[in-house]
Amino acid sequence: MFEINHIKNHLISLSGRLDASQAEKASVVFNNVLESITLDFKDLEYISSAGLSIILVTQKRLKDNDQEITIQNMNRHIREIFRYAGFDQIIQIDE
Amino acid sequence: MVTSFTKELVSLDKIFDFLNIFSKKVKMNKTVQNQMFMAVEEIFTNMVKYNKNSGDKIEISVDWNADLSNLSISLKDFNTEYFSINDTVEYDPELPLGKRQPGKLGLFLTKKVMDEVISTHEDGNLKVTLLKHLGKIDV
Repeated sequence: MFEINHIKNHLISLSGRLDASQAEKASVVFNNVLESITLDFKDLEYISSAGLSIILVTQKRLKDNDQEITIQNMNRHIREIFRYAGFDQIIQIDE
Repeated sequence: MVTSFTKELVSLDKIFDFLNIFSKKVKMNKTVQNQMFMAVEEIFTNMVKYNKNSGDKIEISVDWNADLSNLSISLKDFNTEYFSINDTVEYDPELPLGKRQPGKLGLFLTKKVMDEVISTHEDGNLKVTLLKHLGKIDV
């Protein structure tokens, strides 16, 4: 089960499992992000390359306009995946 | 344990349920469980996306040895064109943001979280085997 909610202007919360079968659902929300945004991963259990690709595309688009993504409350497993993918070098991750 | 899944992305929920049963049975820890989910998803998704003209089912088998020191998961796609995981272009995690493109990341992460990834193509069937050596902390 994957849920994505735009809970206020600059904060999106994600929960559950963001896998390839849920990528379209996430894309719809991310495609409408035009300004700097914080992603709350507190309840996100899992993310695969399909979800990472959406974040990458969004970060590139935002950076072109001097905006960016920040991620907070990332679990240990997802942090490891971000590190392997080198995403910790291109996206701000708050402790 | 061997099960076949319909070759479409919505099968992922059923695949995760299948792997969950196995991981609970061997009391696998959460980190290894997520690594296993990721590797299986990435290979399954590649088979769904890139082997469109092959069979309509993908067979997944999970094997482990008695002391749980080795885990082996195989995904088999039928009637496929030749493919070798060794022929794929490597993803570069050091690239600056501006030079990155989506793609290649799934296989790269699969190789990172597994100890070995082996692909074979025999009699028109593609088989990808994921091997993980488990330490005592992993189960």
